[in-house]
Amino acid sequence: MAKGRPIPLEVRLLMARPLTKRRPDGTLYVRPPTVEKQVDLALTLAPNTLLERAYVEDGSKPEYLSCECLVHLIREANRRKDEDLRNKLLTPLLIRCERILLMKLPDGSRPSAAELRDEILGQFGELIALDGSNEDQLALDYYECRFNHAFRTLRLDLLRSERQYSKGRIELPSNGEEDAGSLDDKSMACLSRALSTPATQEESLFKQELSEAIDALPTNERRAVALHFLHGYEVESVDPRRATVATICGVSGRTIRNRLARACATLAEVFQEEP
Amino acid sequence: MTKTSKDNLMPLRDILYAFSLEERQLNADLLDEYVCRFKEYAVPLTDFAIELAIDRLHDSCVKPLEVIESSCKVSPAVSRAISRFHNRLHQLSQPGPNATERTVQLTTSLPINPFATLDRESFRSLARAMGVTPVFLSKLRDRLIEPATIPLAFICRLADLIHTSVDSLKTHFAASSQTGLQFYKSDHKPEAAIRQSFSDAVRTSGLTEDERRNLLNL
Repeated sequence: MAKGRPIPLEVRLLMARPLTKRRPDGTLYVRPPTVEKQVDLALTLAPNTLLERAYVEDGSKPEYLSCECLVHLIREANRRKDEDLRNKLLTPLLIRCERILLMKLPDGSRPSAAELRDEILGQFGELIALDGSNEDQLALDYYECRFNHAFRTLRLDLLRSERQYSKGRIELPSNGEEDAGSLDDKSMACLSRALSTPATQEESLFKQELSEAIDALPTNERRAVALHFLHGYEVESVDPRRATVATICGVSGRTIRNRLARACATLAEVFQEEP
Repeated sequence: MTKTSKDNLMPLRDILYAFSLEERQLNADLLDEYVCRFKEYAVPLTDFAIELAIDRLHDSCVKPLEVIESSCKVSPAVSRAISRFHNRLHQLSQPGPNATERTVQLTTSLPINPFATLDRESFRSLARAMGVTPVFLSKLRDRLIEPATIPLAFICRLADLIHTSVDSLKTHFAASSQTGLQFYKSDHKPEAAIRQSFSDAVRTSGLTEDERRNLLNL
């Protein structure tokens, strides 16, 4: 199409609608080009073909429709009041979401795994129902951009809420913490190295066990490890304006070192099992 | 990133989405930037960033999901999600007094069912501590009691025992009641289970005379 010429209506109708959600800096979210292209093609397909392709889960197959694309198609069907197509496309999308959740939150990974999965799936279903209503906050725009990241946000936010609720029932207050002894520099260095370098194929299982062990730490130790080793915050600082693990957790540097020492002692077991 | 007046209106969940979809490296500098900009959400943002970091660490060393072609069979969990989708659609189609009352948990990120993590023994202990039967407590858990009829003193006592806020409990009681397993195909519009008043629940839950009197006098 020549530059500057208006796009014919019949072509515009078959193109994906632009997203309207904005980043905090004011710029619009946009779909990746591959998603944009897939959506434009999918909009030209007959409903039966769309439904067949929606159930293809192998991403390497040419007929595969990404989750971003499925979200757009569901929203588009909703806008056109095509409830039948909308409802039929929703099912394969939720099936894929459940599969993700069964991998991320398998039974036994935590006491409320099944309830959490239910709640996440349910909230996602409700988000889709709200789309286009007066209460719609355009959240599905995120899912058209990077579905996995957006769905992860929903999952982790609910997990965060559940941890917060559990924390008050289980954990001792911080001023009751005992001195865990001096922080072992060697253990800290080992842990730092393990967490900062990409895993080789041989190390993959070890790192998986390490990440699961970190996840299973008591909340205070888990926070200290994540803030220091994964986010890169210093334990404490002489600069009062600087955010550190200690200031974020609202405790002294000594308390943080105690927590890290206890965490390192627990995680040392994983290192000892490393082949 | 300078703060604008629109930032004051951004719900927490939107900020979390924005943080998660950032193309920049997720490190202390980025978290500091967001916390500085959205100070009122400093704690949940930091908590979320921690969850995200550990999740990404796990992803970096786990094999990608194996592709298993779907059998197209709808599991009970998917069926329940579809029910919630239709329930919400139905709610939206009804004339209501206050649109914001309908969006209970989606934008405020409050804790989910506060009873969900109680195992069987803890649930029974809680019932004893509250001076009620497990049957009565189940009705509260499953949102089968009309929230407006539950005495505030009862809610405060319960909130204290399960270490949650009164607001969280009120939100839980006010949400749609649990309808149990429900598969997609239905001949009727989905409806919430019928709720009873607090006093009716007291009378029909196997409580002793003393227990009933104590609760009805609240």
